[in-house]
Formats: sequence, structure tokens, C-alpha cells
Amino acid sequence: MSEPGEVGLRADGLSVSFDARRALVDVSFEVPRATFAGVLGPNGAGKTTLLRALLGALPHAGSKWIGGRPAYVPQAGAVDNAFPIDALGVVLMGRYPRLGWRRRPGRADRHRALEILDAVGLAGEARSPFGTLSSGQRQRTLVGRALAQEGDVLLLDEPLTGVDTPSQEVILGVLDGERRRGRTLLMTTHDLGQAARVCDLLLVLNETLVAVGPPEEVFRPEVLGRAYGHELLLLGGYTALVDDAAHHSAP
Amino acid sequence: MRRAFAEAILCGTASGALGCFVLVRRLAFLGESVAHTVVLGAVLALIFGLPVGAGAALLAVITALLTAAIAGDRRFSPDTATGILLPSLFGAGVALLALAGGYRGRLEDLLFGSILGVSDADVLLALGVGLAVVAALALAGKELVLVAFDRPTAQALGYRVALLDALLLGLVALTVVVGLRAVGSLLVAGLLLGPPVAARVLCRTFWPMTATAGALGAGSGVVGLYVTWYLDIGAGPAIVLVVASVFLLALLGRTFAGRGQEGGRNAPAIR
Repeated sequence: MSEPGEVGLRADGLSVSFDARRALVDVSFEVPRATFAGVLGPNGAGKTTLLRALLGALPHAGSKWIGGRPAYVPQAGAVDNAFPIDALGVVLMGRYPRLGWRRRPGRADRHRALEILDAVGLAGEARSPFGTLSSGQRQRTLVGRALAQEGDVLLLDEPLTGVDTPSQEVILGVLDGERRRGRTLLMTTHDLGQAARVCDLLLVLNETLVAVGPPEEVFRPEVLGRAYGHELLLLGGYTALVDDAAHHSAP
Repeated sequence: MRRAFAEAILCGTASGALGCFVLVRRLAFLGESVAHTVVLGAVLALIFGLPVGAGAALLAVITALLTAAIAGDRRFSPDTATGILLPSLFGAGVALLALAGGYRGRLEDLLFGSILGVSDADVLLALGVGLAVVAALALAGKELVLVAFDRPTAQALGYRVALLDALLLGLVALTVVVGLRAVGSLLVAGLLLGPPVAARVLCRTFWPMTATAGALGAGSGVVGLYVTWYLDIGAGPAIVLVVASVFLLALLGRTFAGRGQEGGRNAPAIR
């Protein structure tokens, strides 16, 4: 096991059940600090549950440890797109935990939020209503809100699903910058190719942890077959296509 | 008459501001339900000689708890729970009042309000509730907004979401109890939701919408009382009709002035 200072995130025997249904069973892993880790798995594998258990937002058995302050990006569908708020207001929400009760965001918070909007390519949309932004712009705004939290560990739930390619590139560029600054990232995704391209470490999940390791170790037919079962199609022994039903795509 | 104006301004401001949370949390049907079921609490309080406001507040809390309990069963939605509770508890209140006898005229007061007959104690209660709403929004307003916009993130950031829900429902209950005296059970939902819907048409972001809704609620109360004075119609219906007119004017104004802008075709739907 690594030294505590080198670890960004750790789970030890993490299990979650909803009523009688098991969602996550005895999951143990460690993500080194300043690592971009991806969580793969079919629909219903427990990816979102894992993130929420790590954040302590769900009752769970076992233990988890986060190396510092967490920041979170929920799935696009979790957010109310019709809410009367502009992009700047959404990013400012990331400052709330720092402010505590009663205090409102001040000038310094606004300045920081505008810098972040610039970093995610939305400087000109600060006053645009959130609901009128494109799905890619909305997702960039939510990533911006996570940056405003200034967390040490970023947990992102399918930040690239249903997002146009330019927005994906902006988001991945920003996340890579965060990793270079020493932050630890854990991102769920359905896109195996993209995960292999951008992640240093992959966790393959299907209720239990099927595999964990760098992409070249994880992307083997027997490993993916154990996680995805009949959803996996192998072509020539090299290419894996997964039936991604895009069940989480933004409305 | 001065007491009636004070009651209308306090009640309209609190209802308008708090109603914005009811609107964005999609609790409109629950607000309507609480507005009706409090009649049972008020009737029970009348029969047992207790303060009507206390009985109504108790039933408001019970309604919220029962709604949560029924909706906790995955086979039923919160709307279903409300659809069951509203008619049964409201019906029980009306039936009980008929059985008890001796309260002639009180049913009309409960249904349509009696703002022209408010006492100093009623105005003080409205002031207290108004201050409670302002204090709660000053203390936890941004957290309530976060829960409304993105509940999973509020949970993930460690906020006690259930506590914030209870705070909001408690404030709604208190506001409905005050509104019951002003415009009555049948019309209080209009005061709770009309100004926020009109403000949503006029405003792009939440806090200006809240301030606008509070001002529209207070203004509608004052104008409604003047309408009552000159037209000799019931104060409750007059106030709610003014609220409805404000909404229509806002909608028409926005449609003609803001075509193609936010609030026009591109605006998200109002729930």
C-alpha cells in the first residue's frame, strides 16, 4: 500500500445496497495522487453509486478515504435545466461550501468564477441562462463549478456523455490541467476508447471490481468480457465495441 | 382597514418570496394540498377552543409528513399522495364543521379568508412569519437554491438536504397558515404561486425573481383591497384576481417586448 501522502483516493471493502438489491460489493482500490482514473462498466454496474459512496452521500459498508477536499460533477440529468440561473450563478455555487451559511459570494468569488468560465471557453456566456446553453456548454459550466470548489479530488459522473466533440476537448484539456496541478480525478464513462486515451488508470466495475490497472492491462478481451458480458463485441481480437445505450444522455 | 393593509402586504410578500421556492422545487401541488388540508386543523382547533393558527399549522406539518410517507412507497408518486390527502383531509374538515354545528359563517371565513376582520394578533403573526421567511432565506437561501437546482451535488457536498427540505416545508406551512386568514383556503395557493409565476416571466435569475415576486405579492394585496373597497366584492377573491391579472400582464408584456429573447421562445418552460 502506498504512503498516505501519495494516495489521492482509497476504497476498502466498499459495499452499498438499496433495499435488498446489492449495488456495489466489496470494492477495494487505491488511486495515486495526481492521477486521472476512469471508471468503466455497463449500465447499472454501480459507477454512480461508487462516486456517491466515496463522497459519503450514500449509506455504505467498508471504508473510503479522500485525500483532501472533494469536488463533484453530477450527471447532466441530475440538474434542473429550467432553473432560473445564469452560467455565472452556476459556477458561483461551487464557492458555497467555502462561504458557509449566511455569507453570499463576494467580488473575489465572482472574479474567480469569471476566470473559470474563461478557462472552459464560456467567457461570453456568463450572463446566459443555463437552460439556453447547449448541452456541451452546460456540461462545461458544471465542470467549471467543480473547479470553483477548488477540491483536491474531482469526482466526475459521465462528464463527456451527450457532449459535442469541441466541448469534450475543452473539458479534457481542463481536467488534464487539474491533474498537472496535483489533483486526483475519478471519472465514470461509457466511452472505452476515450478512457484508454486520457486516463492513467482504469477501474472496471460490475457490482464488484473486475479489474484495476493501466489501460494496456485492462483492455484485454477476458477482462472486458467479465464486465460487459454479452454487450461486448470483439472484432479481430483487438477492437471492443460496447452497446452504449446512452441511457444517461442529456435531455 | 390599516390592519388589513398590513396583513395583505406581509402575507403577499412572504407568500411571493417563498412561493419561488415552491415553484422551482415543483411543489405547487403540495402547496395546494396544504392550503386545503389546514382546514381540518383549523376546524379541530375551533371545536377544542385552541388557536386556529396552531391547529392549521399542525395539519400542514402532518400533510407534509403523510405526503412524504406515501410517496416513499415506489408505487406512488408525490402527486398521487397529494391527490389522496387533499380531498380526504379537506372533506373531513368540512364534514366535521357541519357535524359540530354552531360555527355558521366560519366555513366561509376558512374558505375565502376574512382579511377585513384581522386582529392585531393576526398582524403580529403575519409579521413574525414574514421575519422568519426573511431570516431563513438570509441564513440558508443559497443552500436552498443549490438543493433546488442540483440535489445530488448538494448531498455530495455534505449539506443536510433533509434538514433543508424540512426548513422549506415548515416555512411553506407557516405561510399558508397566515394566508388562510387573509385570502382563505381555496385561494391561498393563488397567492403562493401567482406572483412567482409572474416574476419568472419577468426575471432571468432566481434572487431578482424572489424580490419581484415578494413585491408583486404585496402590491397585489394592496390593489386587491382597493378593488374590494370600490367594487364591494370579497377581499380574498379580489386579491387573487389581481394576482392573476398581474401574471397575464407580465406574460403579455414579455411576449410583445421580448420575442426572440430569453423569456420568449428560447426560455425554459415555467413549471
